[in-house]
Amino acid sequence: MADVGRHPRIELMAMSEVVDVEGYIGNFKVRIKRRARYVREKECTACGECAKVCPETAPDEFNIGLSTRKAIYQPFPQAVPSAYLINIDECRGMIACSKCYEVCEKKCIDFADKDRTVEIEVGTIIVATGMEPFDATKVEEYGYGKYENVITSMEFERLISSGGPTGGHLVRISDRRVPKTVAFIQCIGSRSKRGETKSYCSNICCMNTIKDAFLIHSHYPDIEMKVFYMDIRAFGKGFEELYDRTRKFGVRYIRSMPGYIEEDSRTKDLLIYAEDDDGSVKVHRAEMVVLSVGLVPRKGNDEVKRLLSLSYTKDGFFMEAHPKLQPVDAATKGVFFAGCAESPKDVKDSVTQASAAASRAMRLMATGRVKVGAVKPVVDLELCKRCGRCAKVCPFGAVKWEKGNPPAVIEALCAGCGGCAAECPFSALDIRHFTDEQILSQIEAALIERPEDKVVVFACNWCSYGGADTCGVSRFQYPPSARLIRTMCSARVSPNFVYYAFSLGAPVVLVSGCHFADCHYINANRNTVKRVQAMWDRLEKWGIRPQRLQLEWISAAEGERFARVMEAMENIRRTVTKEEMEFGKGAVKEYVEKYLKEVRKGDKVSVAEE
Amino acid sequence: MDCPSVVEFAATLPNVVYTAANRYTCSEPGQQQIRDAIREHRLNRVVVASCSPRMHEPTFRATLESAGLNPYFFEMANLREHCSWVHEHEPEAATLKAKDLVRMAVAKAAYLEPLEELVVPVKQSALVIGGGVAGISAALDLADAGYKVYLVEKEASIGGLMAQLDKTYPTIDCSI
Amino acid sequence: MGNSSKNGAKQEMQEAREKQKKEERYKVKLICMRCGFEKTEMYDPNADEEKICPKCSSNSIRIKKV
Repeated sequence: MADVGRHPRIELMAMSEVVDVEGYIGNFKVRIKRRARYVREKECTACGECAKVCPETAPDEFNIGLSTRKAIYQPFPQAVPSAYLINIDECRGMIACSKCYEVCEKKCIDFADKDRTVEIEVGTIIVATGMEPFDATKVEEYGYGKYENVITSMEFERLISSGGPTGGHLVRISDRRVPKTVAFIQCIGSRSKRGETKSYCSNICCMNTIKDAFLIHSHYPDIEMKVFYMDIRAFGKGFEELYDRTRKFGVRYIRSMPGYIEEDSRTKDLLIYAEDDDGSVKVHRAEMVVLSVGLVPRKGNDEVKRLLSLSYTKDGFFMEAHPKLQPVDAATKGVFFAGCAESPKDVKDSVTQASAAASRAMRLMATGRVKVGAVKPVVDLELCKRCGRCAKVCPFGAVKWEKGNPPAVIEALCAGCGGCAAECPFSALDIRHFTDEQILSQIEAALIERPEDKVVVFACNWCSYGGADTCGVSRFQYPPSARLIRTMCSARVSPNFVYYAFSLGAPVVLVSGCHFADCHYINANRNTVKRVQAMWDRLEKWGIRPQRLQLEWISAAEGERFARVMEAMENIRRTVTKEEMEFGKGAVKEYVEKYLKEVRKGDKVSVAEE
Repeated sequence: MDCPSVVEFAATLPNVVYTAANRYTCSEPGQQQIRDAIREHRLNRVVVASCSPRMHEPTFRATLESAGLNPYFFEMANLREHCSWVHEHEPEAATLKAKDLVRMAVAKAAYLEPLEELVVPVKQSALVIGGGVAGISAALDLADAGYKVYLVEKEASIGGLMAQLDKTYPTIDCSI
Repeated sequence: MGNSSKNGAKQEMQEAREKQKKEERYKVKLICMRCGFEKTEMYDPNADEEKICPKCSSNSIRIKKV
């Protein structure tokens, strides 16, 4: 920690938050709000004289409220930066008090200090926003918050710490006495689908309890310990050995999740009701209970997610670009994950992942140049009617448009979703590598023989196509009628593709993409919804059953859902009659012929702007 | 799935001048076979019908590039994840589907254009959001490697949750 | 990226506009294009919510103004 404070190339901004991010890989402009500290950080020597005279006290956050601090304080003795700060909401102010100001030899207390915003430019960004412990009050049956001697594993850390509020004496809150028996309950907030608890395993809690048991034994060899658990997951290097040692010195591991805890109102001891091996309920008395709380995503992550266009996995932690091959990369290029922001992990894994993230970032910076893709829009300036609809749907602000002019594209900002191409009503705009002609040729090839047997499926690269891959890897079987056409985003699917498929006799067309929260182009797939709604209306007007066009969101993880959707598509396909298909062909004929004539004469050029 | 019949079928498709069956196309010998075929038959588009482009499109693009062909002259038909693995009990229908998938890929390939990737410069500085154990480690690694690092922490001190821990496993030593 | 505005005034204006937009709720019929399930509800076009059929879990939900 101290190394960070004195490193010549690290600019540490404490009490600061990222408020805006612009730009793209290699070239991010970041605005950071720096909150007022009211103590000049560089001048303060952390002598502590100010805190001695401060008349205001508040619960100490670092010790989770187990002790108090002053309104002018240092978060903890080894804090970096090593400087005091004033919580201005608790302070009586310069006029009413000013005791700290008077006693400060360095005169570094500054009541006029203000929040300010700084702007920096960086090539890469590492997201290491961490996690937070599960709120144990949400598991009511164990009485946390109600019974004094039921504490969380975080509070235990502060109690056993020699720098903590009790000087390292493990005492009960109710009577400041060292307990004779301590019970740990595992999986608080983890591995359960009840209420607000999380269904995943929080990774660290088993080993943390084993470590806690170890600490108790070394400080107080006579304390009797019991651990209530469902599985002990001691999978890491050196873990099983620690687990073994705690068992040898007498920690009792009981495979049972207690039903509830009652407090003995006289002694403040705790009565733990837990099912025994034989199914009978047994009562265990403990003088202290430690709830081994799991880890949950940090609430402040939403803001970072929005600013950097990131997504979450189902568990609410940040989603990596690929779970095996790019486990520290974000989908947003130039952004990487380290630590618990991505998933719960211990110190060793956090450090390992941090090194990986740093190395991925260095790989970019060391080269000094990066390829940002070739999938960019091109425009036919003759067909373009200067309407500007392409610019309106771009989630990245990469398409610039001024009235009376054709669009101009900032190619480095463009992520290549192709939503602009699908939006153009005049087929004037196209996207490289997923051009109208390329996709039309795929549709034609899929339907050239026995179109009545086929379901045309448009799948986005990131989610639904990935879902189809996952489905394959998991060997979920589905009917062989589907013909997938890959686009980068479902927003690329122009209504013209769908009508073209119907003109060739396709019984069913499916447009599929990412769930809203997972869209890899911020929110491009909202335009997919709008287009599909409009298509349903139009199909109905043409007398084509709108049910023949379907829309589904399938994530890359939802292999089974993909198979189920394919079954549903096959079921719809079976309901489409030969007459319907023939009628549909005729109904869209005129529209499609006009479109094909337009799209095939086009001469599209780059409209890139620096 | 009847692979030889798919290869036979592929040879009949418009614009196709060369077809070959290969067991491990993504392996080095498999890639060399592609490079040799490009040179020998003066190919200007390549279609590989094997697994998912999400897996191996970058591999084969590099193969094309090393044979002097624009990497965007490549298209993939996903016969494994999207066909043989998901229609295990319907080999005939799967073979028909595989033929369609190859036909679709070949059709798109005919329209592929050579593309150049846009290259942008990368600034020699990094932002680390969060000063817990992960953020600290990443910042130190980057700074030690010579890059300017901005470490942004919401709280008044770095250290995060780790600083609150007394000792950490597996070494049972101090956290700070 | 760059979704946040540069200054307070601009942000306020944006918020006001968004608030106004938010009040544009209207009655719609939601029709599942897969299983036919129908329901009428007040619809907020700015809610940014994924539509899903409570009966068959399809996302093919047609939204028709009534």
